[in-house]
Amino acid sequence: MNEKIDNKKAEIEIRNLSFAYKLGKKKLEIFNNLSLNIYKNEFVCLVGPSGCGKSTLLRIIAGFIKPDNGVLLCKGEEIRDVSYKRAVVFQEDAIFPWMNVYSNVEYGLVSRKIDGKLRNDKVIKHLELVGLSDFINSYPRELSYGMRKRVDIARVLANDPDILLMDEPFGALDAFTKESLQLKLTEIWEKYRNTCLFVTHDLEEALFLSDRIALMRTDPNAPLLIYEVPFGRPRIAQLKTNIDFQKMRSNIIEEFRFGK
Amino acid sequence: MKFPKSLITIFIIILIWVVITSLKLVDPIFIPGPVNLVDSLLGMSDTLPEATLRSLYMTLSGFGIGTILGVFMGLLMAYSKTFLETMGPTFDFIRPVPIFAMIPLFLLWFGPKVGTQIAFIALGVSVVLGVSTYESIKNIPIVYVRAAFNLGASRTRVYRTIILPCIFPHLVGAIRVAAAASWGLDVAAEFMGSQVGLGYNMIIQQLYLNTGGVIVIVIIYCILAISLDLIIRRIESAATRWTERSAMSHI
Repeated sequence: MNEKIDNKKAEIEIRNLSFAYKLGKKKLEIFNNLSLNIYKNEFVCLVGPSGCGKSTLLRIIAGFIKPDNGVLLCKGEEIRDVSYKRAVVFQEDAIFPWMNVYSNVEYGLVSRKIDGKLRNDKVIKHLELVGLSDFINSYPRELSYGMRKRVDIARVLANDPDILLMDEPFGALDAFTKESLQLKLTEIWEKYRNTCLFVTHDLEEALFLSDRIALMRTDPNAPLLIYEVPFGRPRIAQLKTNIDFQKMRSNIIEEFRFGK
Repeated sequence: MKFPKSLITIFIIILIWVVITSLKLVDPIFIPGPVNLVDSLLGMSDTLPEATLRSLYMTLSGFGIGTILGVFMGLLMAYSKTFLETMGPTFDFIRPVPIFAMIPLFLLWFGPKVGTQIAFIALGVSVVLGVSTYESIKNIPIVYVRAAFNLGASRTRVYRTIILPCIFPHLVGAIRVAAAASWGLDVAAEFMGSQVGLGYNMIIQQLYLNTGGVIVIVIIYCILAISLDLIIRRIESAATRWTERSAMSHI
């Protein structure tokens, strides 16, 4: 691995992690001896075909499930439980349909007993950030799917997380909404640079958003393939049609196809 | 305003009834006519108000206590694994016992008192709601619960702000069924030795072969039951305005 990066402090450290689903007496191995470091202020995309275990890895980092073996550290401390510091954006609609937009964004702050003006300021600021200031009193069913996703992102960001864990958040969106949300996310991320792990099966999305790509394969014993994404920031929509971008995309696909 | 279709049906039924009874096609012992009903109503006018109030009081108390108890039990079974493991099998054993089969035992143990009758209604209601509550909790989309915990919510906060509102729309169905059943339970409860109340009056009317009186009381029960159902539906539509369902009137 790259010397220069390894000297930096890892925010998330994964060493020799193994996980298998138990189905009765059978065991379904998802991955073995998996290792990956995610550094501070870095945007890492975890890419792979469906069923390879990328969402499982994200859920383990989030603390929803426990790994079988291996080391899993967040800022040097073992991950034992769910924490607001490792905030998850789910693929499914996760904003609460019985609360309006404001209450949804406020939820984490109320849970953490942050009161008064500070709480209100954070909610207003983050709704502005995702461009939903005019929908404060709307209920989720009055919003489009893309807008609900933006509420979800605002809710998570307002809650001061150290790390963003995004589990195919744009997976169920149409191409146009997806593109606009990618641009919005990039714009926000370039402003705050939260450490981020973004799971997707869309390689183009991964190349566009991330600093580094970790490619996961179906074979549970295959180590992650790491690619540095060389494109500078700020990223703009035209990057996707750039010749280097396309070249890198086809290289990774080739490598994945022939298994290296 | 459009004329409601349901009123046409009711109107036709009443018309048939008036025609059949005025032409004396059926013995008034089985189906008494309108005049007979009015006579019976006037004949009972001195006992009916108190009887209605008593039945209303018993049903509403039993229904209220039973609902709170049932929902609480359901929540507790979901919240505490220990509670579920120690009490769950016992509930599973008790639940299928027909509640009306318990009447003799209730009478024997607690005597023919108002408290006994209310407890009987409450038991019948709580069984329905306990099961429904627990089942609805198990069907909550896991993503809401995970998201809430992930945002830093405590377990009690998750129950208060996620689980309760989430199960409410599912629960309303069960609450309406229980409300309807509680009137039936009230009739049965009053059959076990009450001295006032609509059910008791019904027995008296039956003893004197006054079918008109029985029908008057049935109609009063109907009006009470429909009113309670309407109130619950009002509360439901106010509390579940957030669901996609309330936006949809017809599939």
